Amino acid sequence: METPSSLPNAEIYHQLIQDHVLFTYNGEIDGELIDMLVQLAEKILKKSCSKLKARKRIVNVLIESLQNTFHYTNHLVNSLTQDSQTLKAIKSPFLILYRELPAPVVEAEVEIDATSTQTIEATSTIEVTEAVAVPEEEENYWILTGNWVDNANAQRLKSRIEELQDLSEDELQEQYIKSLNKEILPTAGGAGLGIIDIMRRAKRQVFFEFRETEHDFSVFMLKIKVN
Amino acid sequence: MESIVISGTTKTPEVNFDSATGKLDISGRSIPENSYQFYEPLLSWLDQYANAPFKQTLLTFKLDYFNTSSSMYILGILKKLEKLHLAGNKTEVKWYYDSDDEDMLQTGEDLKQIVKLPIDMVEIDQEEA
Repeated sequence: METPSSLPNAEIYHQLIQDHVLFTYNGEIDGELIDMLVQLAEKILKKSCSKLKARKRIVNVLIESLQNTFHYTNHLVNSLTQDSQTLKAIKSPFLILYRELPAPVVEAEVEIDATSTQTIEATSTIEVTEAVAVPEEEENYWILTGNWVDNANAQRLKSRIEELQDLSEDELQEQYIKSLNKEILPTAGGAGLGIIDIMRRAKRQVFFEFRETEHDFSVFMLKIKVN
Repeated sequence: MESIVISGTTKTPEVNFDSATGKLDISGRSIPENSYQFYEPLLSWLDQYANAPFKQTLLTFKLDYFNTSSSMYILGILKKLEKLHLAGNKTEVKWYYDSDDEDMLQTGEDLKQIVKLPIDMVEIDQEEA
């Protein structure tokens, strides 16, 4: 039976392979789920990333960014009385971990026989890249997170990140020490230290995107490169 | 005074604070969403301990992972020990880091920069689990 067109088809799987997606999550989040996601990511990385240094850094950034999205989401949800449809989306941040490979060394094209699978068009090809041929030290990993923020918060967040992006490595270090060394300890969250920590670990390779939606919200996406 | 013995979880570290020997150990991972809840009792314990400390205090950190909110409390603990140290008590800190984990070494160096305490960086060559 043919797949109803409203359902994801095999293309989505091919896309995941092509993008070297190691791990993706989209849904509600809480402390227990973060725990499970971190453990799952660690397991996956043990198999796919042989360098302990990179693995540790990726897991650290994962923990920090997941907890960031958790705090933002919590903060937003608690202040809302939205209709259930919007609330469901707001409650569901997403996370993607993928490996960026430099110029593919070995590439093979596999033609798919259009008559055998009805969900794939006759012109579809899958590119199979041999990850084995890539020297380990050239591997970069990307962590993408997305969560909703209200537009006022989005503006604040945007200027904060832009401010940090302008800093040199030494200035970032200075900021880190300053934020770490606060007189009053936070009772919730990391009081803005998280994003500085992520920037440091990612050697400032942190990018962001805001997309406005209806209802005065924006989807905030953070893209972090780790190696 | 009572000692503190807390078993480690996937989110919170194992803690052994022994007032009778002055040995304070924190090991494992510290990534709770709410660090306040976990660390506040440890800070209170240290306040009490400072009233009648053992002749020498050795604090050991052997952490695998920690989040930024934990790092603020780790600094809080070090500041309590700094007070103890400045009051003339023999106080020492050992900060363990994996030879491959340069970020953990960096954090140790950062903390060392903030508090006036003898912090010893100890490199370990961790075998893969």
